[in-house]
Amino acid sequence: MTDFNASHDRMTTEVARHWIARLASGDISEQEMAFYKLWVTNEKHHEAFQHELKLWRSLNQIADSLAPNTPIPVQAASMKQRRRRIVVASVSAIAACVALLLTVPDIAMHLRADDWTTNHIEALVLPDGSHVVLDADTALAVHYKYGARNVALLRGRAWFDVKHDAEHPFRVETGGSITEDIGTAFEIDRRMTDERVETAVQSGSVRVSSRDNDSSVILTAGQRAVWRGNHVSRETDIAPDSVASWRDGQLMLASVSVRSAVQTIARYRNGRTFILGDINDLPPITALVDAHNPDDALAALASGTSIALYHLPGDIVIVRRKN
Amino acid sequence: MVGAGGSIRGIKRGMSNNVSILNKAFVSERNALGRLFQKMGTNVAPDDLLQTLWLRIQRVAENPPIHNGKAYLFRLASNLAIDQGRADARVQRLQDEARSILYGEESSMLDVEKEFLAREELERVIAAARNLTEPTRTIFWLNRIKGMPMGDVARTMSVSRTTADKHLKRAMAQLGDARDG
Repeated sequence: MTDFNASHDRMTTEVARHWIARLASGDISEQEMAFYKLWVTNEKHHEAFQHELKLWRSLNQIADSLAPNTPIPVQAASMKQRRRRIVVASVSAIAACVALLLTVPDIAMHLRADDWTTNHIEALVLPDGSHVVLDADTALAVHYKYGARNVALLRGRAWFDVKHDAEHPFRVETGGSITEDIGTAFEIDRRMTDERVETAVQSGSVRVSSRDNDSSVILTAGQRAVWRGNHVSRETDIAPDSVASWRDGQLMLASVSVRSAVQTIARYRNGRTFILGDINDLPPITALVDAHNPDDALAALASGTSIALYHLPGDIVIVRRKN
Repeated sequence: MVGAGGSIRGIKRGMSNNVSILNKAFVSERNALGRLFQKMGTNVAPDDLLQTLWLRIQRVAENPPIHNGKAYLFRLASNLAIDQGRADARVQRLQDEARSILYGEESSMLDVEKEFLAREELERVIAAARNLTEPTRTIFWLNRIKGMPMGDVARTMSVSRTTADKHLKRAMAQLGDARDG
């Protein structure tokens, strides 16, 4: 291999880099392309271009070293969107990271889910000894680094029991809302849609703020707040003991639609659950569901309402209206 | 503007009858034209196309005289949209070609060994990558890793296009110089 530095001058290198930048810019003009093609016919130019191109191409391998360190709010712009959903069969201790790349609105695109439960509830211990319980179908990304304990709840709901450390604040980011631990056990739910995130405190106190503005609220035991798209506000209080009551697998569904009940139970089932037809006009139900026995819960639901269940191989259930 | 006989020419010196007819039609049909351009879905904003249409109107010849200004105007608009569509297709082909030069088999490096940087080179590049500061880091990452066009990068980062280009150049220089050792 020839000694590159000896046979190519600085100017040629800069021009080669210029051409790579123009080609990658997305708006190279026809005239520029013609100039490039002319320029590259020269053998020295061609070699310099290949030299720089090799580096340019290799940067894929080190994408992690190039990624920004802090989340950037991404304005509406066109870019390659990669939506990959990888279903994790089981989740082990925090040290084993399963990297999943999700495209989630308003969250830095380089966040990766370190843990993603599928149909079971999972309890974890974070590197600092804090405890987390993840509900089914919940994804969490952990970013413990110098000076901060940052966690992102990418989907689902989680309950946190945080080891207090005033010098290293514990913050959970979900969409546009940030919950900062001032003291200890709290639940965050971003279940409904990405635009609504609920935080409830069991003990201690937290500050919930909106990432985009100054809207924020401090909550103590039994208090709840909801972030809706752009601001945070208090919701009605609840009994501290009932915060994240789903942790023990006992789900209280109070006057919810049949559809919503089916969807909730479906999260805890092994196989897929489909709803066929229109069941939106059925009267709401109230029930206590045992998440450890979702199929029993579904059967009980069917016997009490006007829905019928069809079972298919592969643990699939189809829910439809009983005629 | 209606007048008798040849008084029109005397008043509107310098502007042909055709052009003034088209200008009138343009003013009254502006909204409909805007909607037409919107529906055609080109990469150019409808306002820009209206502007270009107006310029084309000013260059329309005096003869033969136009009788149905509105019909003529819409034909002009339609031709413009077609030309724009062709231009868009050319731009798309151009960008595809650029991408294929950067990432495809065009620059034929068929020797697999030559595809990858030597380990020492890569290590120097990784070190330099880690040292990139903001906003250089994010600007470079958005363009190179996320494939975002530089126009969008500048808008996303709330900087001018020239500033964004400078940061990209700076990142390339830092990484490239580190690789060269």
